[in-house]
Amino acid sequence: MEQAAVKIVNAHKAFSNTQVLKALNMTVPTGSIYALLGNNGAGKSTLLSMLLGALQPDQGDIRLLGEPISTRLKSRLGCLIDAPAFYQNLTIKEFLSYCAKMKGLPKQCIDEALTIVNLQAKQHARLKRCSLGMKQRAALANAILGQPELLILDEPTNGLDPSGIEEIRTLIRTLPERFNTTVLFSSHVLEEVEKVATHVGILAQGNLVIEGSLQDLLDDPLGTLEVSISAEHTDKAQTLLSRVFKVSTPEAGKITIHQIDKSLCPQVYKSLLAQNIDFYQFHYQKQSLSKLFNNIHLSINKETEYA
Amino acid sequence: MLKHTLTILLCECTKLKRQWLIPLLFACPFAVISLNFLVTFERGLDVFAEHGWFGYISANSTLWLGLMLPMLIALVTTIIHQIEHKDNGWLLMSSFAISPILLCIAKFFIVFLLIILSNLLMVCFIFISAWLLMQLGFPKFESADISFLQFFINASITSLPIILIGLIISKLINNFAAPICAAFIMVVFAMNLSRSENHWFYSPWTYPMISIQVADQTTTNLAITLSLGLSAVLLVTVCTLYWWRHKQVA
Repeated sequence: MEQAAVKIVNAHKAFSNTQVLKALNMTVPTGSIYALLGNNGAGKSTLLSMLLGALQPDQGDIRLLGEPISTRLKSRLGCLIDAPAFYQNLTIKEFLSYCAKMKGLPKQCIDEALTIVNLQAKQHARLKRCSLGMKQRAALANAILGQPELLILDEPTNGLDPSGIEEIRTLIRTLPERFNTTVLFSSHVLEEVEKVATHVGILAQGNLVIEGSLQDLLDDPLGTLEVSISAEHTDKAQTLLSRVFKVSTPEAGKITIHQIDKSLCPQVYKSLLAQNIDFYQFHYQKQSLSKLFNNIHLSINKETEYA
Repeated sequence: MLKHTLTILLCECTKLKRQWLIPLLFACPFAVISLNFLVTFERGLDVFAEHGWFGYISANSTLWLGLMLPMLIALVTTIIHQIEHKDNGWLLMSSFAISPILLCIAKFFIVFLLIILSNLLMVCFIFISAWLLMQLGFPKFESADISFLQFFINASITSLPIILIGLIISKLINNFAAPICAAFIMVVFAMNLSRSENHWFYSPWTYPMISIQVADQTTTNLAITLSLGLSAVLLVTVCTLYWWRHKQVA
């Protein structure tokens, strides 16, 4: 079996009295585009900093490309940090030339990286005078210098305009095939993750609560059924449906049935007709990443309240 | 290893492009010389005749080594570290496959080379100002009492502990004002301490001034020996700091 590009086993990290990561286990398959999702304060940046070796875990084992983190290993990694790190007095080309020298790479790879992120025309612009989008592209160019085996990107489309976002998404999608690279990126934009990622991990309260292939997660047969019912029949419909399903309290005549198998929808339809309940909208929605994400956070919040 | 260190050193030099650090290296010795030149010229030949060229050079050396050089060192070390403190520089550095110790040594060498350059400029400016004074009717320049080579070497060696202390403070404190204030307090303190024959060695900021005292070779040698010994200890400290902070950068 092919080794995982990133393998984290039982990682713990605390700052003072705050436990940021708790017994975290994570596996990023080689060649995948793995999206790390989580709210602010979930521990994403701490986790990415640990992968870069900038922070040490209090406990646990982290292996990148099959090796423990070391200075030597960093030559096989590329990274883009949340607030891109730059030397503002340098031009884009000088900055990339500096990074290439520090990585021990030849000069040719600078032009290649500039072409990929579409910054050739602006290569002599001083970073101080660049827009956030251009800086983000320059940081991405630094990350892909020398075609690293593992790319760690923290919110790579941050600050880009819509066309820039699309370009970077396309670039990320093509990286595994183009450079034989594994990509691990964090993002707040669920739509972006659905378009780009092959694998997803959702981080909440220092734990990876769900992890796996995006296709497997979204292929869950359980979806959501929304039925809009006439005002006089709402109570009757709720009583009927709540005998069998988990039904939400009706809102503006709309009843929502959570986690219902698609195959049961015709049965619900027939039951409503049989009971002479008037309804004017019947809509089944399969699992989406945003629903999955929200459900996870709702259940965590409920658990916290209960505790 | 040596090639790698040189590469890092050259890369670190790249970061100084378009920084106001290079003009500062010229401006500081020039300010000292300009001041003394104007004062000497204003006082005229009668006052100059009392101490001659020795007095002129001593006045320049005291102002340079006692005040301007320590302040310049504080400024240079602060700028060198502020480049990294700003905009996540340390995090970027931690993503490269380079040893934090090598990085520390590279930064130390850069500061040291810049200070050597400023000392060299100071010596050059002394010659230029002396030539200008001669053109203005002052006596022929004689430097028999002071060896400029000794001035240059001693001032550079005794700057070492101040450079290392500056690197430690500016690495720990992400702030422009604090390292400069600390340096200013130490300079004022050293000015008083340097007058005491028994207590000057308590402050490294007195060593550059003491090291050029031609009359007392034993004291000069002691200042140089103390500088080298203290520098060795401080270099280990600063390397440890780099290694330790590298792990806690985020």
